[in-house]
Amino acid sequence: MLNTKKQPVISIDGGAMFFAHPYLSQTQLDTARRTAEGIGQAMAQMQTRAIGVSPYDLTAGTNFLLRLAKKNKLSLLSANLYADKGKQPIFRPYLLTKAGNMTVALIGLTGSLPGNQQHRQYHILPWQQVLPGVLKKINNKADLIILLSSAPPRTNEEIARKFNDIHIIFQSGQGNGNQPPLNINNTLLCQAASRGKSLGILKIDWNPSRIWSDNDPDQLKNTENRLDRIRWQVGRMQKRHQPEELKNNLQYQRLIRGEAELEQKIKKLKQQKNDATGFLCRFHNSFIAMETSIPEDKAVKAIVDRTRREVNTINRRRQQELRKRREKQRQTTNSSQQTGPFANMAGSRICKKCHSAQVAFYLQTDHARAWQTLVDKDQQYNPDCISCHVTLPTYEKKLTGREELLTNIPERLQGVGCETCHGPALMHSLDPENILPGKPEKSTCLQCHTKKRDKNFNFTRKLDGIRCPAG
Amino acid sequence: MQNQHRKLAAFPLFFLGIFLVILPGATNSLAAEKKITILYGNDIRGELEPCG
Repeated sequence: MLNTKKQPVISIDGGAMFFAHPYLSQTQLDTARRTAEGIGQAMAQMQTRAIGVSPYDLTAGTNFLLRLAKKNKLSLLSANLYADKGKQPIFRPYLLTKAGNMTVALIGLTGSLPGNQQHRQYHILPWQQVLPGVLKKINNKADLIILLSSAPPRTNEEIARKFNDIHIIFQSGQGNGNQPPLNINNTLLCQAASRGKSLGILKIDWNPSRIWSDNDPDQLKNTENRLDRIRWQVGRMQKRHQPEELKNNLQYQRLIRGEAELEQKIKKLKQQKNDATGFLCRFHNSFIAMETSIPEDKAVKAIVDRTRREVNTINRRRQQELRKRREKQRQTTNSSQQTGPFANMAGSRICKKCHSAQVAFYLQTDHARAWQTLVDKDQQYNPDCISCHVTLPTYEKKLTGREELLTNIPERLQGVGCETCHGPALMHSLDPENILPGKPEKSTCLQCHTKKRDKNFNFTRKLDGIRCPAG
Repeated sequence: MQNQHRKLAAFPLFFLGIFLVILPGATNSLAAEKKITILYGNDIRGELEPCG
């Protein structure tokens, strides 16, 4: 796909790679640290040249991140993250690196903590204070200057307007989608969707002028086609109407304005195309969706699988500790009656007695396999996953705590069973004539089939697929 | 003998040809546009935290 012999390739990231949340409890921190270590190993395996440090990456502290960087020989960059009373940045502010016959300068910029909070152990200096000094040091040493920024998009736009020495800003996108390069004051602002949904590929033909032009070969052709269509429409209207009529015809006037704008745009694009052979820097950007059809790198897969297994083991040990503690508590209080969100849940096996055809149908659906899919991915002890892979009443999904999910799901409720859609069935099984099950609504499904997890979810279509036969 | 002189004369011409033709071509390609491909967004956390 990428011919590295013809064109050197470097891989970088704006930050927010290692942790998903800036604040975690002590119990969550153990698994989060192990996950971060796996990410560090994978990034090193993929020869990532540099990564910006985001405030999210500091969840386990700066020492953890420094050790991780050293162990994996990763360049973590931040020009503005300082120890509380320190006079030097904690991480390297910038890196000068070679890529083929180009020298590239990569600068790290750490954004503020969520809510602009202050941290006891370090402080984040304003970009206005640090960037001029860094740029002065890099001046004339690099062909291309790139900022790896975890600052918000508005701040990055402000930086682009202030410094035309910075040629590209890669921003880390927390919860945002792909953003093709936006040219502000000769700085390209780029962003790929978070969580690795897409890979951004920016191909650059660099020129000492350091002035960007869009190299999209289709843009000129598409614009010319649009102009042709507008001219055809203008010609048709001129044939059908008198000139006096056309003066007051809004559609005709709009077409004439559009024609003039496109002619200007084509003139500019042609000029750029002619200039580009000797003067302008060209780029072409594309995003590749990281789908399962793309072959995996074996070494990276091994790191991912190993990390998942070890995180699963940490969670399993946690589960055992919590269960022992609960058992002791039960013995102390002499309580045997089951309470909590599962008290009225019967499990799908009970439904089979009266609804065998429906249960037989259900067993063929993905809902029935939901628990097994967790086991297959070593995620059955992951509290983040469990609530959508077990049978829980809808109203309990958000209320049920992580510890409860980890320790107390009985085997009969593993998998997304009948009661997820129809509500708790224990009372219905005891009095089926008078206590009737419910029907699922769209809101039931959307608790788990969120846009983030299932962007193509269509309630009507999916409901047809899982609707049990009548009777 | 004359042929030998011709061969000897051809030698410096041969090397002159290299300097005049081949080397400028090579230096031209070195001075050509600088190209680079940058990969970004290569985040594998989605693989490790599929439900997060």
